[in-house]
Formats: sequence, C-alpha cells, structure tokens
Amino acid sequence: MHRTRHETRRGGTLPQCRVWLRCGLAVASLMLASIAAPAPVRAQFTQRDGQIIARTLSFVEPRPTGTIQVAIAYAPSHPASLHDAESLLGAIGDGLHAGSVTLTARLVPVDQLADAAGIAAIVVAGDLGADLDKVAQAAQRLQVPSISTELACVRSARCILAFSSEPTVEIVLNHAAASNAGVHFAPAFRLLVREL
Amino acid sequence: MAAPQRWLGLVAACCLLATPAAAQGIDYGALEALFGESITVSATGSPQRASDVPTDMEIVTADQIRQSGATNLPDVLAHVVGVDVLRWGVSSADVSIRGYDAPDSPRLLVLLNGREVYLDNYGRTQWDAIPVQLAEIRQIEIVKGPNTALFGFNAAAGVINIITYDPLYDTVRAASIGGGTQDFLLGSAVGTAKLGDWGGVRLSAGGFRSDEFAAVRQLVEPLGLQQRSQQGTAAADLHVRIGADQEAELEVTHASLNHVEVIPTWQPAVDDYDINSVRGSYSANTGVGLLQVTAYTNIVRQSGGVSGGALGEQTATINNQKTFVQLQDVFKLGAVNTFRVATEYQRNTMNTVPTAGAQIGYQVYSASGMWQWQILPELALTNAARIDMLQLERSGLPPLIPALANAPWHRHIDEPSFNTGLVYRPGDNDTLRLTAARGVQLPSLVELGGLQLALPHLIATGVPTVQPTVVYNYEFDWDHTIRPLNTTTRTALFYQVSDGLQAVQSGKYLILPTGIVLLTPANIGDSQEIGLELSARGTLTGGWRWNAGYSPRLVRDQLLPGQPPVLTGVDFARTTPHNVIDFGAGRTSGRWEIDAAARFESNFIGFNGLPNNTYVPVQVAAYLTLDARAAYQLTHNLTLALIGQGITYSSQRQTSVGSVDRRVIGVLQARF
Repeated sequence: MHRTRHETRRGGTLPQCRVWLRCGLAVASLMLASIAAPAPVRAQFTQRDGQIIARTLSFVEPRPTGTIQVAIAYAPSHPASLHDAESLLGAIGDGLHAGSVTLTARLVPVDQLADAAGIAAIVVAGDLGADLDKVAQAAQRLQVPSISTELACVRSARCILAFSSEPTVEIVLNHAAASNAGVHFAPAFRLLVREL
Repeated sequence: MAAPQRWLGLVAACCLLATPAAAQGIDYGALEALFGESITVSATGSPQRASDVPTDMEIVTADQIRQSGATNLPDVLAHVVGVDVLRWGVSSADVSIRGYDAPDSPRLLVLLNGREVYLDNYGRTQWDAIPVQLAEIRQIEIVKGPNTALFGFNAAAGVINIITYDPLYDTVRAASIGGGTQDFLLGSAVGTAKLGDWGGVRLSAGGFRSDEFAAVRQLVEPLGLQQRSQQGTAAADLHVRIGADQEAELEVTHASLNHVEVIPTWQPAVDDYDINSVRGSYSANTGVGLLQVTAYTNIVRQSGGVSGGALGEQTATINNQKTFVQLQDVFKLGAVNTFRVATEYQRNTMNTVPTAGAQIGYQVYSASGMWQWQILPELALTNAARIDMLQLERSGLPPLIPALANAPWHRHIDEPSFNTGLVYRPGDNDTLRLTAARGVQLPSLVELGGLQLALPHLIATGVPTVQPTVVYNYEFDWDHTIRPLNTTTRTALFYQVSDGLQAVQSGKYLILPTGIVLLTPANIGDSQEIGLELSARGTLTGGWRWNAGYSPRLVRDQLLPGQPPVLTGVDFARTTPHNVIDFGAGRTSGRWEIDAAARFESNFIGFNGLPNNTYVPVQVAAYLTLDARAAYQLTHNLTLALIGQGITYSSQRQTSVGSVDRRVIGVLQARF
C-alpha cells in the first residue's frame, strides 16, 4: 500500500514540477524582457499632464484654491511649439478640476509673458530655445513657477519645475531657481520630488 | 540624563544648518493623486513615495480593505504575503510578520496614526480594541522586518501603522449595519466636517457583538467563562491650521472589549478591556525645518484572567499607563540630503497582579537620527540609528521571591538599533533594495515583574533579569513592473537572526527550600530564519483584478539546554508554517463588486498549556481557506454586501487551541 502511494506521488509530482518550471521560466522571461523594453515617448500633452500641473500648483505656498489660470508660453515662430501649446490647452479644456483647484489656461506668446497678469504659473510648450530666458525673467517678475517637460530647462535654472507623467510621475525642482523667483512649495512636496 | 542632553545639543546644531522648508501638513490624498502611488512616513519618518522606501513595505489601500470584505483588522491582514494570522476566536487574533507565530505576538509593533496601540503590559496588540472603523482607514502600512530605529522598542519583526483619513484634508461620511452567523451584529459610523478653511473634525464610533465559535464555546464552558464577545470604540479628531505655518491636532479615543482570548501560556482566558487615549501634536515650519511635537497617553484597564487553567484561573485588574513625548525635526541640507532628528521620552507603569501592592515600570529616553542621501537620481542610501536608554523601576511591597527586595529592579537597559537601506532604481520598471537592520523586542511589563502569582504549590513571577530579544534582518528586494500586463511583482529574500528569545515560562524552574516551585520568564536561546516572499498584483481589462503570493520560510531555533518546548511553549521552528500561498481575484462591473481570496498554509504546530505547567504540542494540518465578498450598489449612496469567510468548510482547525467556523455576514453601507 505504502509502495503504491509512493509510486503514485512520483508519477504525479514530476510532471507537475515541469509544468511549474515552465510557467516560472515563462514569467521570468516576460519580466526580463520587460526590463529591456524602452519607455514610451510622450507624443503630446494629455489630460494627465494637466492634472499633474494642477496638483503640483496646489502645493505652492500660500496654497491656492478655486480657479487658477496658467499661461502656456509658446513661440509663435515655431510650429511645433504652437502645436504643443494647443495640445495642452485642449487637454485642460474649459477647466480641469484637480484637488483644491480648477485649472484653466490661456496661450501667451513668449514675447508677451512679461505682461501676463493674473496667472498662477507659466507652462513651457515645446522647445523655446533662447526664448527660455524670457520665461525665467517672467517667472521672477511675476513670482510664479515655470513648468516644463524638459529636464534641461530645469538644469539650466531657466525653469523651476520639470515633470514627466509616463510611465511614472517624476518631478524635478530647481530649488535655487524657485528661491530666486520667490516661489515656495510645501515641505512634504519638496521631500517627495527630486531637487537639483 | 547627560546623554539625552548631548543628543539635544547635536539636534540643535544640525537644525541651525538646515535649509528652511515651508509648512504644510501631509495631505496624503493630494500627494497620492499627484504621484499615482501611496505616500508613507512609516519607513524613515520623512514622507516618501511607496516605491522609494528603503524597507520592505506593503500598503493596503482603502479599496483593498473594502474589497476584502473583512469586518476587523486581522481579517484585512490575513491575505497579505508575509503576514500570519492566528485566529483564536471571533474577536481574538494574533498577527505576526514573517512567522514566529505565538499568542500575543510581541515582536510586532502596531500604531494608529503614529500612536502606539501595542499594549506593553503583556506585549501584544488587542486588534479589536483599536479605536478605528474600517471605513475611516486611508491605508494600512506594513513594514516587514525591524524598524526600531524609527519607532523604538518592539518594532522587532515589523510595524503596522494604520493611517486614517485626515479631517483637515479629507472628507468621509459612512455608516454601516450588519449581521450574520454566530448571532453577529455590527454597527459603524464615520463622519468628517470642515471647519471653514482652518480645520476639520473627524468623529467615529462602532461596535459588534457575537457568539464565539463552537470549539471555543466548548473550551471555555467547563471553565465557567462566558461564550460571547462584544466590542465598542469611539474616536474624535480635531486638526486645525494655525496661520500659514503651523498646525495642531488633538485626538481622543475610547475602546471597550470583552472577549475570549489566548494568553502567552497557550490557554484561553476571558478579559475586559477599557482603553482610553489622548494624543496631541503641533507642527510648525521654522527656519530649521519642519518641527513636530507629539505627546500622547494610553490608559489601559484590563480585568480578567491573568493566568489560565495551568496556573489556576486567577482574575485581577491591570492598570497600565503609557505616556509618550516626542520632538522631531525633518529638514533638507542642500538638494540631496534629507535628515530627521528626534528625541523621545516615555514612561510606562502597571500594578503587579494578581498579588497587588507594588508598581512596576520604566522610563525610556531615546534619541534617533535618519540621513537619506540621494547619491544619484537612481540611487539613494538611507541610514537611521537610535539609542534607547531604559530605566527599570519597582516600588511598593517586596516581590514574592523570598529575600528579594526592589533593588534588583533598579537597572538600565540600553539598546542601540539601526536601519540601513540602499535603493537603486535602474529604470521606471524596477526598484532594487538592499537592507540591514537591528531591532529590539523589550520584555513585557508582566515578564519584568508585573505578574506575581502565588499559589500553595507554586509562585509564578516576572523578574528584572530578562533581556531584550535582538533581531537582525538582512534583505534583498526586487520590485518589478510589467507594464504590458498591468502587473507589479515583488521578490524579497531575507535572513533573520533573533538573539535572546523570550519565554514567559523558563524550563529551568526552581524549587524553593519550602518546596514551592518558582516559575519565571527567561531568555531561552536564539533563532534564525531564511525566507522568500514572492508576490504579484495586476489588473485586466473588464474590471478584473488579481493578486498572488508565495512565501516559503525556514526557522531554526537553538534553544538552551533545559529549555525544551514542552516546558517553555516556544518552538518557532514548528509554529511557523513553512509554506503559505495566497491568491485573490475580483471584478468590478457596473453596480457589482465581487472578490474572493484564498490562502493555503502548510502544516504547523501549536501548543496547549496543561495544568502541570507543561505544554503539549498540537498538530495543525495544512489548510485552505476561502473568503469572498459580493457587493451590489443599490443606489448612489447605498451598498449591500454579502460576505463569506471560510466558505469551503463549516469548521476548520487553524490553531492548536480551537477551530474556526464558517461566517456569513450581510452588511448595508451608506456613504454620503
């Protein structure tokens, strides 16, 4: 009786082991393959980007509430910049509610940023090249954060914040640029973003 | 006293160099919505994204709590990989992390919003006496492995921090009523209200009553003990903003619990708990960082059995009070260095029982620091260290041990602890962690002398000579996201060493000249564990979700000569199940939300305490349990849920003491 049970177990266990081994190898291969998979590239601004901008601004101190408006800075001479600006404006639409704020936006040519009034932030659309200096100057004059999706803009201290929304949310803050512009963020926010 | 003063000086010096940080509390909801993942302070004391923490942490979200169908905290935790639950009765359960399963589970520190709800008298958590309703929990943060460097004593095998919604930022209003088998009845209500722009208040209350499981009834009936459990809790929390830079919070709670439980000698007892707490905190953004002062007091009154059948049922009332004060500062130096410095004081006392007339207690002075260094954008090193200096004290009538006075109790226990973790994120899909930690489990007040039981033939008493258990944990973790499959995985490989295991009853008992047997607690040996935790969680199209986990672990005890398990009730090598498998699946479709969760535990043993002060091992066969919940949204506000726990059996042995019965519960919940 004991021998029969033992044989049965041997007969049943080994094929099961092989099945489990194959399944394990398949899962491991999939995991390894996904390590090598390149990260997707953002094609244009999405509503998720608008949400991140709105929620980020809710950590500016003093804490804003209600409807706030951002200036989407673009270079009229660069079609790609205008396209980016329009895609963000479309993503925000008539108003994007996120947390304690409702975000609205308007397009502002980069040359007219200095005259923009009543805005809570400047969002940089596309590659503005040398015009980024005008963004930095406007942010300092208006004492508002300047936000880009280009890390280089933050590295060069011409933007205060850079963010990416896919595949995970990453936010980089240039603390010196923020201080120069008189912009302060909540401590919990500062502890959670990467600072330069 | 000199050492704490030196630490305070160091803290002040560090603060003077700190970069100012603006003030605002932690708006968990807003930060979670921004970063797309849970935020926690339970790893380092500083806010962090869950994916960045330098420790193995699992976060159970409010959605997962609801979908679990659980009506109590241990049932929520019962399907978390690496967490074991010994369910003794309807309202009595012990939770342990990474094995070392035993009654009371003193190695796990449990907190509610950072306030310890761990009861120091016996060194345990009475889960149903935690004054929180499931509907007001934002998340449950589970740290696997020691985190004494942040939380202090008893965060030896892990930490569970229960975080509720914050009335300053969150709005939650819910009420539930329910009933089911075992004559179970429950009611629960939670509400928040905003006080203009400057504050918010949260009120909650709830309770249940239930008959015990049949096996537990059969066990306690001959002892003349009750066979019914009931519980009630209430909490009020006021959180206000004082200007732009300061916040203050005041929380008051009450819990009462009357139930059958299993005490450390593996015997059933019936206890009444009456627990009150007051917690206040004040935080301010200053030029030297985010300063926070927290103070609380827990007042525990426990009446009932302090010993079970083996020692003869003895009843008494334990009054245990804990007072805690902490000052901490979190600040950044430059862009890549985050620091936390803190100093703490606590005082903990209880009266001796059942022989009254004396007081046992201790004061603890602590200093701790944490340094998180973002070496590279993808690489961070976190080091935390702490020193706890405990002064044990005893006053009142002399101890039961002949010729022994109070003097031996006037001793110090000084213990350092540390946590270090290297976190590497080579890409968006992977996080690798390498960690090491030293945690400390303090002997309970009962073990240190709170218990002094005198019978004609025997004396059982705590002694001041019991040493803390020190737990070392070395670990490698790999978190991986498979985006095409909407799946996250975690692999954790750990090695744990426990030095100085404690037993409430030493095998080396003495026989006094009068012929009386003297039973005392003792450190009885060491233990090692190696384990692996594999888990995965994902979503599929059509509203499907799933999770799976497998945790094999192997414990080896090295017990001292003369300390066999039959005399101490300690045999972690065999009380820890070697293999645990979890699987869960669910779907939300239209008005329906349906979930099921299964767990398999391989065979293990427990003990039954015998009248002759020995323990008989009881084999608990491998078992599979299946829980399920089906909920239907009747209206926008009303949801009706049918919950089944242990639906594949009518009764199943899951511990050495008794069996668990199937439970079927219906719950009607309103959210408004």
